[in-house]
Amino acid sequence: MFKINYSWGNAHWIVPPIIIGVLCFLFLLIVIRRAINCAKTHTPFINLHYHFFIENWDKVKLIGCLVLLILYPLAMQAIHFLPASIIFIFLFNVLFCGVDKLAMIKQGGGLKNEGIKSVLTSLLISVIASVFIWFIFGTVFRVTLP
Amino acid sequence: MKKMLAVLLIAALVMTAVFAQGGEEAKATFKGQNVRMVIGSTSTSGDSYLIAETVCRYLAKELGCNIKCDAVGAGNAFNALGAAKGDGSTLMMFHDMTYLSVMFGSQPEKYKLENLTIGPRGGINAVSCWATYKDAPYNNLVEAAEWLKANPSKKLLVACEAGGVSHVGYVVYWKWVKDTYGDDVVSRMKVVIGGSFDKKSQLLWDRNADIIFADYTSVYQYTQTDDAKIAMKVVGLLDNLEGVNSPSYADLGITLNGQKWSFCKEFVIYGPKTLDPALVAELDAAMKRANANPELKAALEKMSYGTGEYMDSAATSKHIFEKRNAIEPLIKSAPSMDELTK
Amino acid sequence: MVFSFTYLVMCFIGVAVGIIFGALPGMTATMAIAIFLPLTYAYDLHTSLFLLLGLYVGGISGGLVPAILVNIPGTPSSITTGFDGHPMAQRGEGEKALKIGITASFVGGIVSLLCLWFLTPPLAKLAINFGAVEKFLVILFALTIIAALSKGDMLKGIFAGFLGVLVSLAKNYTLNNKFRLVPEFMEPNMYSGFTLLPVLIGLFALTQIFQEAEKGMKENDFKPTDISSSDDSKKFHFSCLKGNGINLIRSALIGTFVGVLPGVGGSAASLLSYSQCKNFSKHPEKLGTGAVEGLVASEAANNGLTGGALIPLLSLGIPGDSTTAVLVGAFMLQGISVGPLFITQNPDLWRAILMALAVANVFMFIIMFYPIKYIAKIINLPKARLYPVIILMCIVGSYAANNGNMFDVWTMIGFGILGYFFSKWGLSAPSFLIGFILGRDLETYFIDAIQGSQGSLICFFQRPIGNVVWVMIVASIAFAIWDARRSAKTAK
Repeated sequence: MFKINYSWGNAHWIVPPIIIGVLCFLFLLIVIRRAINCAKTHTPFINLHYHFFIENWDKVKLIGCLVLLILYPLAMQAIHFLPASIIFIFLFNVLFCGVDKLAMIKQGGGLKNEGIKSVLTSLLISVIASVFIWFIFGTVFRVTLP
Repeated sequence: MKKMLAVLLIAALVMTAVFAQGGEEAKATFKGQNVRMVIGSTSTSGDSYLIAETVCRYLAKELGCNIKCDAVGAGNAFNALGAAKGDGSTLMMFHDMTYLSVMFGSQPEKYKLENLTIGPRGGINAVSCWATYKDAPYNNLVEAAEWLKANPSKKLLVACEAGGVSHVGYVVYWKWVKDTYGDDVVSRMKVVIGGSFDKKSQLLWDRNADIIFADYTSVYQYTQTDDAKIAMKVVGLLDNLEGVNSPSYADLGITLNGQKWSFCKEFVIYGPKTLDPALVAELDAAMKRANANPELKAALEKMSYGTGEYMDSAATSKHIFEKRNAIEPLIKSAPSMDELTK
Repeated sequence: MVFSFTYLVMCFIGVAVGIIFGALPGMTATMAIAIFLPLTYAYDLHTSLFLLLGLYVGGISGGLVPAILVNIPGTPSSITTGFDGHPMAQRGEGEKALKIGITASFVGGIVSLLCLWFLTPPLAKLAINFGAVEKFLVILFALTIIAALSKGDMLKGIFAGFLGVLVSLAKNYTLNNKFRLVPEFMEPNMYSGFTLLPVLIGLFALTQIFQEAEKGMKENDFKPTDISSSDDSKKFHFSCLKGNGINLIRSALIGTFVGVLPGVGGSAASLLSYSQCKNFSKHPEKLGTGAVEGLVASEAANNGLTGGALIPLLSLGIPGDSTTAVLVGAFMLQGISVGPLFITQNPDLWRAILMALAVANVFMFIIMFYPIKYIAKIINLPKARLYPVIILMCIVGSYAANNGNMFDVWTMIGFGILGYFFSKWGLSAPSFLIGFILGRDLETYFIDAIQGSQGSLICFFQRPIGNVVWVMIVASIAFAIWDARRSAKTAK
């Protein structure tokens, strides 16, 4: 009962099954608890009206954020750290500020235009942050950058 | 039209000049390059990093380039080397684990020595040893075997790592004991797997191991202390070392198939298969100068490592292949760790 | 030892740079020391020590800043700091929380320094009595914090914790060199499993960014600047720490002790201290909602680690945590080996270390305490402008975690997405992370223990120190269950 069959060859597969066992047991408990709760409150076990996202979720920002995040490392490998970072940090800024701001640019009006101002700020932040990080970490501290 | 022609002509001239210069620059050299030297260990306090960092400091001066040592670990180092171009921007400096890890199956076949460019040797670490607790009833590995023979009820627990230098060292000892003392004695030797020095010394202090494998530098102070609980003594070195009195395998007469045997970790620069031969030659020349620099020698010896005699890439390559080919049949014929730990 | 001005300058630079590394998500004290290690070659050992210990103390302390302000722990050991620090910042007490954290850090650092100074030999003796069984139990004990954390839904919290343990095991098992839980095509990259740092910043930073993106990056309705300066309760006074004296000392000692145990990761210090704070608290239900106690416990413990981790290093030659492991390299490069004779053979160095640690703690306090009110303004920056820069930092940090490895960047992004799903399923990311951090040590010591006992589980109940830890584990779990029931009742 209190003995585990230990040998060198199976040492890597002693703890994982225990953990998987515990996880299955806990999962079962969670399911049973939900079943009991559902029975008590007379709600269906599987919620057909389940919404994964919150109401009025911002599709552009969430999906855009994910896409940019995946493209960013790829771009770094292709065109190196500094140019990729300037481009992508700029894009993240534009995205998070709202793409609709870009539409305002058409209205013209130079620096007073909200859209142009926002884009310029984005550009400024991306250039300053990227160059700063590249300089401090890549050059001064010699951290290996992508 | 004439203007246009003139412009075109000038443009063509400029371009020729640029390309011509480009052609000249294309001759491979380390000069002015940023070289990334990956290390097969993640520890920045282990011999791999310390030797590489020290050697590369002098090597970079000789090459006229920047070298950055990155302790990325074996898997990542091999991956980096696998993806590297032949321009010398990524190199690896690592010890015998380079081929041992392929031999033991912890790295894929595609990273075997045949698929790498072997550069010059950078440094050596000869100080691997076996140690036991101070009041153990034996003073060296031979006495330990004798003690096992005299006490048929006793066992000898030996802590080492699977698939490393200690594994090789153990198998040689194991085979020698088997050949000299027979199956009964050798069957009472059992391997306990321990990782880092602190794990292994804890095993020793808890008497969950009788003999542990370690770096002589880590053990040294423990051999000098009076604290009975933690004091240790060295029972065998893999290779002789100047200024160290403890006996080596060779001194003890522990042989492999009747031949003298010793093992010293050698730190060699490896490059991708496609590494430009001109760069290898440049490395050789630079390493030769660095190797002759007494400052580098002193810096390594301060940590009880060494530069070793200068060996260029051709000599290193021949030597490392020979070393591997000598060990391979031994590992293949030795019992698996599964049996050694039983 | 000649105490020179150079030492002070080096220490100051070390602390300042260390704080920056600690405060940037993705950069850690370990990284800072590793970067400066080759540079110290140019200096003598004393000067290097002032620099490196400054980096160490600064790096551990800096982690509290992002944990409190943006709920992204700057280092693994400041995970618990955000539990109470961030809620405080959200209700406009950012500066106060930071100052409490800094003061607690300072006290933790000084207490551990005193332990290092006066108690090194006995503590080192105690440490070597902790074999595999005891270490396994201490880690198990640290894991019980998951039960204490998952208020409301303990079952899911424990599930998340064990999931974290399982994921941490997906790697090549060093003992017998075999892969498990890893698909074959990932094996070359997963040799040592997922790296902690990318997992940490993925789960905390990226998940948070995804959530905000989903909400459309709207700014907080509440602006911390709205508070009128007359609101005294939101300001820091040293009296904020009143009633926390015992908590401070206890947490600092827990931190020191975890530091003393080699092979028990530094993050366990603040975890243990936080759960003990909850167990001893008069108002355990307030922890996690912005209680000063919790913040104090976390910060005093992780700075307590600094002195503690140096104890086994200087008395046995065995580093107490990953950062001090890098320090071994610094000694080696200077030709000095650490081991049981270090202190007696190098009395000069020993005094220099004590002095450096004391100076570093004082500098840390000065550098952080006074300018912090300006740094606290980060919380006022618009998210749309702050998050892109955080993303940049996270990517640089992940890439640098193993000295340049793109797989770690993908790990970070992957765990960011996973954390986002966790938030949807009601699984706690901190619990998962705690499981992940402790999982590997848990397995290692379990296997080591049964390797010693030939597979018998009885060994876990045969050691006196171990049995004491068992009692604490059971008490801790029982308390968590009792506390959960009580708060469930009051909620009704």
